Amino acid sequence: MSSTNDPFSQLLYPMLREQPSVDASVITQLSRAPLQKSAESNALRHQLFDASADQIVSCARAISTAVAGGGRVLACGNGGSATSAADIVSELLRPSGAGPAIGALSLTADIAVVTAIGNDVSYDDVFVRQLLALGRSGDVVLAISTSGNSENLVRAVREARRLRMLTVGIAGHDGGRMRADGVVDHLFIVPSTSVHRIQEVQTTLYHLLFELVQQHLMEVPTCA
Amino acid sequence: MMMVMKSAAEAVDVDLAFLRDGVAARCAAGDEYFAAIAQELAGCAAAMADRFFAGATLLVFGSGAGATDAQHNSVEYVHPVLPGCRALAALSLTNDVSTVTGILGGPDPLDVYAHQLRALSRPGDIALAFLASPHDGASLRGLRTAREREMLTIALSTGGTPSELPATHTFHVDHDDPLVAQELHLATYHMLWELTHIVLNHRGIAEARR
Repeated sequence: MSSTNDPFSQLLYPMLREQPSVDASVITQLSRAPLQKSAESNALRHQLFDASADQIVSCARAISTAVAGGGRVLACGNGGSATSAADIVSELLRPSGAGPAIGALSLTADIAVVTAIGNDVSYDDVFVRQLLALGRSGDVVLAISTSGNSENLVRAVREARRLRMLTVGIAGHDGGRMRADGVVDHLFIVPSTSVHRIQEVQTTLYHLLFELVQQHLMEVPTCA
Repeated sequence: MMMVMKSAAEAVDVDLAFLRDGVAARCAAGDEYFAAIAQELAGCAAAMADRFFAGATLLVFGSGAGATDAQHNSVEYVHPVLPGCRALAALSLTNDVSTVTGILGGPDPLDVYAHQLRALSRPGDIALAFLASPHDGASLRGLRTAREREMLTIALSTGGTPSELPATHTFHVDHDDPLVAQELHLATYHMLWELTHIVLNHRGIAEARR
């Protein structure tokens, strides 16, 4: 980038200077943060899996049974959680490992549908409306939230249970409204107040959960 | 006739061991990776803060899982989760499905991000690319185009040996499980966001005191 260091470029684009404008001491301080933050996520990973490993295994088994019976995975979330939902849907449809392709849909993928429902009815109904149209009994609804409080997710999983779909919630903080009795069949909570750390551990959770599902679906049926 | 059968209890034990190993793999990989990149990450965040301070836009791109990561990364800048953090300009180049599929179905699919960068970016902007392999043609071409346009270039790569990428800052995860690598990249761009805002606040206070 030598061309950007001439005085003219510096005048036009002062942000192109090679040295950051903060002191080296600030950089040194900042460089301590990544290991601390990573350790925080790792502690949460241990906390979640120590407390919930059995439930994760039984949830994976229930999802495998639903998928083996023809169910699809319908995933939803808001903001960063919407991208998490899209991420796991893509991993299921086009696995990075040896697993089989599994039918899955992200309920935020269709911007025409999301904005139509949001505009005509309410943003609170963007997922439940799609479930009524696309969902079938035996499907799996995966609701991802850092708070557990999103009205549109709570409405979606309530209706999904009524329609005899399997419901799985992934939440943070204290689980929020998803924690109430009867809202979801399986709930996993990453007990943190940091949205970033919650999302990092939630990603580990849904990766491992669905890797188990893929493994279950590849099992050769035994005589057991 | 003897048949080897896995009982339900044995199957559960296998699954529990898989989860235990999965968590252990992530913790070990994270400790090693973040120790190695901490200084680079802080320097990158400081450089990003400088560019944002001067009005830059962050343009993010990547294919497959990198496409959802690009969207995740850009929404964090536009709509910050922490109160008091200012909204910053960011665009994911994986959102516009008409443009993306149009280019992928055309004569030069590897131009998918480079084309959008030529149309949307300005000198001084920031490009952040996800590469599932160091040979990811579309992201590589995007980075080269960004560099030609005097943008700050950041590569989050995995798969294969890290080759010299056309980027100012490269964060390469050397792990054979792409899901683990993706998780470490998620934490990487989260931390870049967090540290960038710390520097911006620091600079804001310093400028106000002048």
